[in-house]
Amino acid sequence: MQSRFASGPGFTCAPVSAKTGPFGPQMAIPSRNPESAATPRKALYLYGVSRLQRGKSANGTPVALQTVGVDGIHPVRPVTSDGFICWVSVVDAADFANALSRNLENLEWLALHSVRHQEVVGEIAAATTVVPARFGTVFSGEAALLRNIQERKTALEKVFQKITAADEWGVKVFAERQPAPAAMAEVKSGSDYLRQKAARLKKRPERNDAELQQLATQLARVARASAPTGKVSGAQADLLWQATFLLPRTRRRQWEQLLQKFVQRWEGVRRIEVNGPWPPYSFVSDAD
Amino acid sequence: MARGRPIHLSLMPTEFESVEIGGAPQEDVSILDILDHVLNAGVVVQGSLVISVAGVDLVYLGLNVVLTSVETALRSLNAEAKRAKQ
Repeated sequence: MQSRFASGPGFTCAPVSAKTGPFGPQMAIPSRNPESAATPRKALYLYGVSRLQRGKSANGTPVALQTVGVDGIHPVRPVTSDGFICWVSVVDAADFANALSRNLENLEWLALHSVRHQEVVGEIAAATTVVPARFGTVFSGEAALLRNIQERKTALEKVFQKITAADEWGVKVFAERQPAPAAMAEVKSGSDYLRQKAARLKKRPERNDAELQQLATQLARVARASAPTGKVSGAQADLLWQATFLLPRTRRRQWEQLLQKFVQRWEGVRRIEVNGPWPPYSFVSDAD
Repeated sequence: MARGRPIHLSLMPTEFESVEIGGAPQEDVSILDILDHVLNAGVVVQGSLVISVAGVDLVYLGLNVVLTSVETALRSLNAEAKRAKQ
């Protein structure tokens, strides 16, 4: 499915499950302890890591979080470690560690918690550079978290360099709905009907044609990096092409002018939808 | 983006904007977009299995229903939270 939409230089089509990232899922799952079954075990949910600015405590960062954590209950707080700030909140280990894989298959659970995850990471990213952790990254406690951050220090530094002063943007191109065609000419037979039907369908704009590739190439030139978009919205009606870009903030004007050029060129034929700025979710995976 | 119309959803951080150029915005797409970006880092092995096993079209249809209810639930939660603050 994904490969249908990805085109142009710089695009690779990797299945979601094959990707890796700086923070693996369920890295330090608290082990089940039958004796403590009565009291729910707690875990630390990691949203992302930012840099600790010299001379400032974590509380001195410009981030004052308004939203609650991914569980909708516990507040998000900073844990500092050797130059980094880890943004965490307490979660129930039963939901986020032991039953995470089952919960991920529950679309309602997944949607609700993804939105909360985005609210927190988005709020941090609006204030400071953050390497987003993968959705569902939990640790048994601060000690396990800090140990893990220590081990990933070099990789994290590299990612910070890549994403500094840049945002993630999604771009989608849709086929414009054409006005309903005139009624079919008299249908003489079944195959005649199918022929007429096929002739109509052919008039629709095509996926991955030369003009779409042109847009992809030119956007990639303005952006710092590009990635295929996730496949959740890939089946939207009339979607012709979509991709995700890492755009330096200094190039937003150039980016908008480029998009505007294609909007004018495609007036009435194709429609462009842009979403963002997102935290750089799709550009932190090459840190391992 | 001169022709674009920014949308500010209550579910989004204030900095977030979604701009549709040359057409009417579709608000119900926003949670799909959130899932696309949030889950693009690849952790959701099981979740993506659901999507590919069921077939993207089917899951998209299912998601629309589920997500609409989630969005409604979140809106009422937000409203409650606001009332509580007042």
